[in-house]
Amino acid sequence: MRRLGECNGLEYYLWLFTRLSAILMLFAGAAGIVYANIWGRTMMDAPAQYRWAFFPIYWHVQNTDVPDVFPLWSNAFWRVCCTILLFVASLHGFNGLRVVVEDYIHPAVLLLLVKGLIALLFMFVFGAGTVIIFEWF
Amino acid sequence: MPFRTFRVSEDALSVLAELLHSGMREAAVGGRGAMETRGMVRLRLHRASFWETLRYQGGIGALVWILHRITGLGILLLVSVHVLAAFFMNALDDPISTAITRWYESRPVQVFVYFCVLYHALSGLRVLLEDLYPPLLRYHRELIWLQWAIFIPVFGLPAFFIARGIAVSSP
Repeated sequence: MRRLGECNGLEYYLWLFTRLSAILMLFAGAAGIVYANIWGRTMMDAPAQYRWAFFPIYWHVQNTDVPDVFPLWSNAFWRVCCTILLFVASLHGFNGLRVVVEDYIHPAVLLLLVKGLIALLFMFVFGAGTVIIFEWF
Repeated sequence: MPFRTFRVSEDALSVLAELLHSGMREAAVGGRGAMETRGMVRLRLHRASFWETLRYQGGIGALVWILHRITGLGILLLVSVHVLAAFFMNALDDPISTAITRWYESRPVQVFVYFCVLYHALSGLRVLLEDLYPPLLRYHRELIWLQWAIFIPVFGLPAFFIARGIAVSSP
């Protein structure tokens, strides 16, 4: 292994996080679709299936003619899954936005401001999503 | 900041050098992920504007790279707006949040979100495989065609169902 200069550790861990979270989200999506089709024993249209795979909150199947929504689809297990998925997905997304922004915004002060705004937005979206999962659904 | 430091494996480095020498310019742009594996190297970073990126004649590698970026931003924008609208709809029950939620749940937007999610997932999976096993970069072009071959039917059929409002039953 050759070393040609110092490497930013945080940058590397965020790079690694992007890949690992991608694997997690791919498996979570596949598991959600399998669960919806095998254990759901229900009528679900295509949008409901991918909504459930993307974010398994019971509001996402409530509008379809799925029976016993509350005991089957709204419990602690899916809420914890949802929260983990929300955290991982929003960090993956906002970190991706940071990488894109670093490519197109050149002045250092403006870049710092925009990155701060991205961090605030991340916290706001994650907070709002967590409140949605645990307070209302 | 003309230079940026990346970690790169010996494998990825040799494959990348080989591809660049064989005149595949798009490897440098389309296979950006491959430059960032283990090990370390300094790469000169050319700061291109968005429009310059669109004009860049990098072929299919540059096209899938910019599409990966656009679909990622699309997911981030639409899903964040959807989460925030759902939050304010429940907190305030105001007409704006309700209208945004109705717009998000309309069929064209659902098809667009499905396009973004599926494209970003498949393209990301290809980048992931190329990063885990850099010799795959020799088949970069073929992997891109494989990605489209999977994408077109897997996107087309559900998109047709969503657009026509057809329910899929699973007894």
